[in-house]
Amino acid sequence: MLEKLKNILTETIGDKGIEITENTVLMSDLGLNSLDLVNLAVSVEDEFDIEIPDRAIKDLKTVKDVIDFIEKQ
Amino acid sequence: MKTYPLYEHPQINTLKELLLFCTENYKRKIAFSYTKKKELISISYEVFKSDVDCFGTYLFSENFRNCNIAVLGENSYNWILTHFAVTCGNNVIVPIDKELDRESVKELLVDSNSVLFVYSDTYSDIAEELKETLSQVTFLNMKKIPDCISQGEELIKNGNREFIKIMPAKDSLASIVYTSGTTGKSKGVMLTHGNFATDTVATCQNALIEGATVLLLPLHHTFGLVAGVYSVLLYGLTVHINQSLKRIQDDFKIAKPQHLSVVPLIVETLYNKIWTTAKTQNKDKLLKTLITVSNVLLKLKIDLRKQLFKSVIESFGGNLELIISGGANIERKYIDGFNSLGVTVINGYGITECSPVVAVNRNKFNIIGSVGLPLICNEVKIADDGEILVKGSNVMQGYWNNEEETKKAFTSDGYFKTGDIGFIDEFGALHITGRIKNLIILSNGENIPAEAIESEIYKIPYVKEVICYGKNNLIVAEVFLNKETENAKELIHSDIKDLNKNLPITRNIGEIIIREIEFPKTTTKKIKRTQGV
Repeated sequence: MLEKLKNILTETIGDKGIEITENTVLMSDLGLNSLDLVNLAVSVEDEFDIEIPDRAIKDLKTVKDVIDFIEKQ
Repeated sequence: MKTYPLYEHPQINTLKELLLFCTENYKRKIAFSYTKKKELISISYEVFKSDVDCFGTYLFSENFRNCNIAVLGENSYNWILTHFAVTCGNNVIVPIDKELDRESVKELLVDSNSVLFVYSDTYSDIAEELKETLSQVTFLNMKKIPDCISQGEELIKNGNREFIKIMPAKDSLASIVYTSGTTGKSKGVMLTHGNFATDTVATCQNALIEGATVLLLPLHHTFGLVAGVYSVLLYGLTVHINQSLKRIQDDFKIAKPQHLSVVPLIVETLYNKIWTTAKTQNKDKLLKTLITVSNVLLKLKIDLRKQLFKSVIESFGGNLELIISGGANIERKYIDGFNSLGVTVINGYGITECSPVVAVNRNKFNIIGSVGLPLICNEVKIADDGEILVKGSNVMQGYWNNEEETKKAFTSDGYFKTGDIGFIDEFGALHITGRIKNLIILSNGENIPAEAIESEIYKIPYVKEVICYGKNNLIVAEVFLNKETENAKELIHSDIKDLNKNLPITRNIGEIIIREIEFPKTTTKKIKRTQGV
């Protein structure tokens, strides 16, 4: 799952040469803005065939939050 | 470079007059469109007016008169319909920021004395919880609006024309818009029908818009309303409502917008997406070459941008020509970058207290680096300390139930103090150079009181002093640490990381600067805030 997410992140924001772990904070560590998060959510939805409601996007602060969300679905 | 005559528009004094003007002149043209379960729904100007009359008549029949009505929801036709049905009936609309948590929503409902709360189904959890404690408020789920319209239609058929006949006065209060203050407590900006109407007309006198648009800005922001809805209606164009930013690409394909009104964050993201896509397709070098060639040709007055960059513009639907950006400063590289591709970006400036547009560049008089010529409805002058002062028919009545803040907001001769610093150049265009207030303004237009984040950081026991400010679109925390705490310089990074997880995403701290000496102080021992301005 982490590997898949890493690939999605690289496609969404480009390779920033930062090691991505579960504890990576999406905004402050990777420099994502709120629209990048929306794009990330769209890619995750497509890849994992789930739906992420708009209101849930702002709660996805770390890579682990995204993994937890996918697993709950 | 010289400016040219303002674009002509009729004088419109209220939102009701705007509605009547549009219905009379644009009748069966499409006012709004949106997708519902992949089906395109289109609403003509006539149908919109009829929906407003029916819903407004229903509200009157339920005794919602001369009262304040709050609305919460994602962008939707029902949100806009609610806004017009409330204001055109001389009631006051209180738009609620959809990012707020339940307690903040409750605070605003109570503070604004709202008696009706109209909410979209997405927020029914908040509504259900509030029902238990707010007995004085009636709750209406937007899902029920079609029923309300049917009931209103029946009443009108039976001769009830009370709502239809009512004509709000120019100085009638139309909306209370809550905005973040420097102290962190929200202030309700009181805007009249005249404020909105004159600001809309004056904005359209400066800027010409053509073709369809996709509404991307949140409607609870006045910029979203004035630039994204009212101005588009005044020009008789179509507002395609984007209900979720996740569907932005689909909406571009469907609506094929010719212009967009957005905040810099969206401009930046759309521009970066062009390059990420080009890179993925291994076409970035080709795109760079084409831009270089095109720029040379442009100097020779040969414009081939439409042909050369057709496939790039296709990702925006194929018709995009103009982007109006406001809410925060936009970097020049994005203006130049889009211009190279054949899309003009014009920058404007506004503040909620001025309904909100104060100045905007003109299509053919675009002073890059400035926010354009002040609108004809307001006079802009610069105070001795550099602060931008505004007086005019678009300036608010004051802050709701807050005389003290209202007094502080105006000079003795009646100018609104914007808190921004700037100057007016030789062309008469306004430039913004900084802020007097300690608000951190990010490129998505978010205004974050520095003090609100500082108070969180002060909870870390070894932080002796901190100030926060915005830099390169990040929130920077500059800290002075207690030197007696071991490893404080290492600990601060993990403690701020933990703090970020608990802070709203828009308030995440992006950079930490550790000071070796304490901050310089004023005579009253307050930290001098020289950074970030």
